[in-house]
Amino acid sequence: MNSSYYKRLCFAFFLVASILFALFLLTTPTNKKFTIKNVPTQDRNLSIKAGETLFKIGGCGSCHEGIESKSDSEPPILSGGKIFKTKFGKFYSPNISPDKEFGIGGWTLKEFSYSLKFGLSPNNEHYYPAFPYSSYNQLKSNDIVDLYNYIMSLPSDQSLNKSHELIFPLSNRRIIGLWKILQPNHISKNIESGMARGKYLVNVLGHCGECHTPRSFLGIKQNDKWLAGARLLDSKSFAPNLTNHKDGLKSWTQEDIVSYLKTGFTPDFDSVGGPMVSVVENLAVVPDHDLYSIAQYLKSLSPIDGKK
Amino acid sequence: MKKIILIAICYTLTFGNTFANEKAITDRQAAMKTIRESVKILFPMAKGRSEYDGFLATSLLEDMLEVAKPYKTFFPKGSELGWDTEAAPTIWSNRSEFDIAADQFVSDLEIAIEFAPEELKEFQPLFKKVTSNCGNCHETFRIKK
Repeated sequence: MNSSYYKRLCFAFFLVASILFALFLLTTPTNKKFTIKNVPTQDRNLSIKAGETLFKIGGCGSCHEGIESKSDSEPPILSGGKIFKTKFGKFYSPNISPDKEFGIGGWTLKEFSYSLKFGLSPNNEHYYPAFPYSSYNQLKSNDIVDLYNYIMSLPSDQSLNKSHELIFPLSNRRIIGLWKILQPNHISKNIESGMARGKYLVNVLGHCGECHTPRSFLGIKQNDKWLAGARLLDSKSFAPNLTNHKDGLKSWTQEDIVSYLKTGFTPDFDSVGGPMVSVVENLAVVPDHDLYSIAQYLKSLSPIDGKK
Repeated sequence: MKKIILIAICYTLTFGNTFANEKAITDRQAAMKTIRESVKILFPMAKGRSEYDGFLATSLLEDMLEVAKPYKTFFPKGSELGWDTEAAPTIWSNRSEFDIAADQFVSDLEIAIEFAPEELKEFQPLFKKVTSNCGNCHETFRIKK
């Protein structure tokens, strides 16, 4: 009797220990192998200029620009500190200005690449996916270099980062290791060597899917409803369907999409609202051919009913 | 008798208010519709896709001004929800900023109307200033449903 009781106890202990160990392994940030291929050797000033356009399409400033710059000609100050209220808690965007102490000025290109592609900090900790690294994962190497050069050319700022206020157990960063396993990479499955520019701008750099693709209760983007419209994580507003569905862009022409991205007016002259306003402001400086690529890609999407 | 009067008073207070809220919501929706219809004609003009007519442009801007002036009064307390309203709660929680945004729209319209642009070149920057209010205000004060 006694020995069977101890056997069971031992077994239970062993089971719990193995589960904990498995969790520990799964949530440990893994060292991924990545090197920048074909490092661009172009002039640094040209690289900074290219980086500015990428920065605008990526909308980096919409989250990280803490103090609104007074005019468009002034460089953005990436002091962070913007608050994002979600059902998971409150996120504060960090300072990514090139300040060596308070920002990312001390980061190497490798550390910068790992944060964008894998959501890993220089201390090898997981970033929360409020930072859209699951989209940025497919960023092209030379784009990363240009973005790095551009951000490092901006004014530095000494704002202190605020800690996120998240619900348990998300307050522990390790849990994001599990999220990273559950969140499949949408693009990697069907990436072609020459990914069309529009597809790249929408799904990778522009990370449109972060808002326009519905998520499961764990915050996993649902690949079968890619860009089919979703309620935002602040759960008040709705990011519309971008596929060729009747609830989406079916009645829009490519010109309509370009015009909307440039001016903020829909074909029916409704006006842009919510977080999309900032996106339209960013796209003001983006060349027309890039906007046409975006429109072309969106019009190529098969209709998906996002409400089903 | 007293009971009936009391019930009547309660009824009026409850539903009277509801009707007032409904009116506020439909008023603001009608106002936005007027603005949208005007922009629909003015926008192609500004882009040079349709012929510029200074008289028509100023008349349409005046239509917009007429509904823009009382616009901020269309958001009384109690009209936060219902009738497909897309008004964001921030209108009530951040009232002073909302009023400033509404006043800015009115003042930009007044400037454009005062100028009464006869040439397309004069109209374009004025119209750009007027329409910059759309996104600026909708960014914070409107919820897309």
